[in-house]
Amino acid sequence: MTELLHDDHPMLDERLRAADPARSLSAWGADDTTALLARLETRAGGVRSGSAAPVATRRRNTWARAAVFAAAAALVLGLVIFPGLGLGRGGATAEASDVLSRAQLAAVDPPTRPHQYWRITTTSITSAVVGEGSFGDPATVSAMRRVERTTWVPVDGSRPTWFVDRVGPYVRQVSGPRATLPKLGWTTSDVWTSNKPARAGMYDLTVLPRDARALRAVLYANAAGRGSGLDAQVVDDIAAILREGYADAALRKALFEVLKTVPGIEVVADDVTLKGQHGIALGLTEQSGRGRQLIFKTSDGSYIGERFAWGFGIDATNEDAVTRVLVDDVDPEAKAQATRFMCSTNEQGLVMCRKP
Amino acid sequence: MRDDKGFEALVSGHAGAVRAYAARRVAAHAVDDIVAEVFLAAWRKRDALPSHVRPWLFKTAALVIAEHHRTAGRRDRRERLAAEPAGVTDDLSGVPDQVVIQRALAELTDDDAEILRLAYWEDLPSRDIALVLGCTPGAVRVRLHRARGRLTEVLAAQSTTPIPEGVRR
Repeated sequence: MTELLHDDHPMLDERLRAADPARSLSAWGADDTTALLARLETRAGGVRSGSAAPVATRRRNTWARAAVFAAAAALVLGLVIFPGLGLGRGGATAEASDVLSRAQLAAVDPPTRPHQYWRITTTSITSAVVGEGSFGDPATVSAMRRVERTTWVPVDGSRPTWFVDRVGPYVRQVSGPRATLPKLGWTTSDVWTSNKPARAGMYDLTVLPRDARALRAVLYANAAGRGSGLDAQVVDDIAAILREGYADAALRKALFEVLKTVPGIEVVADDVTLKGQHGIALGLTEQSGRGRQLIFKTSDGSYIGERFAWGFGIDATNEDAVTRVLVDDVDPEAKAQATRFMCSTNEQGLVMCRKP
Repeated sequence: MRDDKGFEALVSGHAGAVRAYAARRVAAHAVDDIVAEVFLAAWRKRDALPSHVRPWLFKTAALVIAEHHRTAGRRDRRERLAAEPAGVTDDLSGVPDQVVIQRALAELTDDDAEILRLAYWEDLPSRDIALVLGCTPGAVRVRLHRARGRLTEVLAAQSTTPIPEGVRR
């Protein structure tokens, strides 16, 4: 970089380098490479060297067949009780397993018709960082703020998904230099759709196994090398799938079954309130106090959302309440206002979406 | 994938830099996903990657991050306080310089901030920055000079104390 240094800015150069937020990152090691390659193998579907293009999907086809059989069985029986996976490493506490079994019984979707949509509303209290810095850093103003996303997902996955994002008022400051938070109302921040159906985060839910043992293998393989621990990362990933509201009943049942196998899953609180509903919170609590909690309605056992505690005070807790309702069409106002993105696969193989 | 020694060497040699690139631009919880997406793209294009691959990886990371910012989250949101006479931005005397610089970068245009990051944090020479940004090395030098000037102005405006001679234009 010496070619770009100029004598008239030596102190600025030094200050810029010292401000590098990645200065304290640990060095990349052999274990990191192994973990990343394992994760890529899972995503790429078992690619072997020598082929010019990714070999698609023998593993994915197996999952798809398993998904079909599991879904068919669920339809016939109307209710699926999964046997314990018996993995021998211990799992959730008995009390937590009972909560998850109730959730499996409550995970039922009504019959759908092809033209319909799932309207999924995620109402959240989320972390907000003011300016640059990390949430919770003593020099950064960190606050909690209300936001909401409404999504219309086609039931058959054949049409685009529609999104309406709204941002709301600040709820409270949780750390950092004392500041006066502005008093804000609700505003619509974004309304959009694309020419393709959406994915739920990193996963294509249509090919995730509905067989709990196979699903567990996928989730743990993808959790390797990420986050602060394998079990905690699996819980985070399951929470991310549930939070989006896209998962069908068969997948939700399988996810709850996987949660039964995660060591340390316990009833964290038996009387919480999430968007006015009383619930029981299950989760893993790390030694720092940081942890994700999945919340199940006390009255009928259904999953209703989650909380995430940042570990530096009871006020620093994210909340997400999720509802999923079958509707005949997308809200007309959303259709009228939406920015329509065109998505395509670029030369790097990435799906990119742009305004036309 | 583990059977491909060439790809494994690619990961070993460049994943750390890509991870740092991502860590400088997205929240911590998103970094690993960004890195995985970049190398998944590299795997798909492994027979057509340029020999000087790092700028390609950074350019791919930039695209992945842009998509991430567009579709993610609320947990990556950055908010700007409305102007308040007693607001935290008025008094930088107790704030670490790292935060002062990062706040100043946030005041720049995306293009200005990005070229400064590539030069000072990714430590790229001008020809590599040109590959990442899709311009000429000459244009990089001009834009970098201007970006440094704008950063100096922002720092001067934010600071409550005179700026030492070394950085005054």
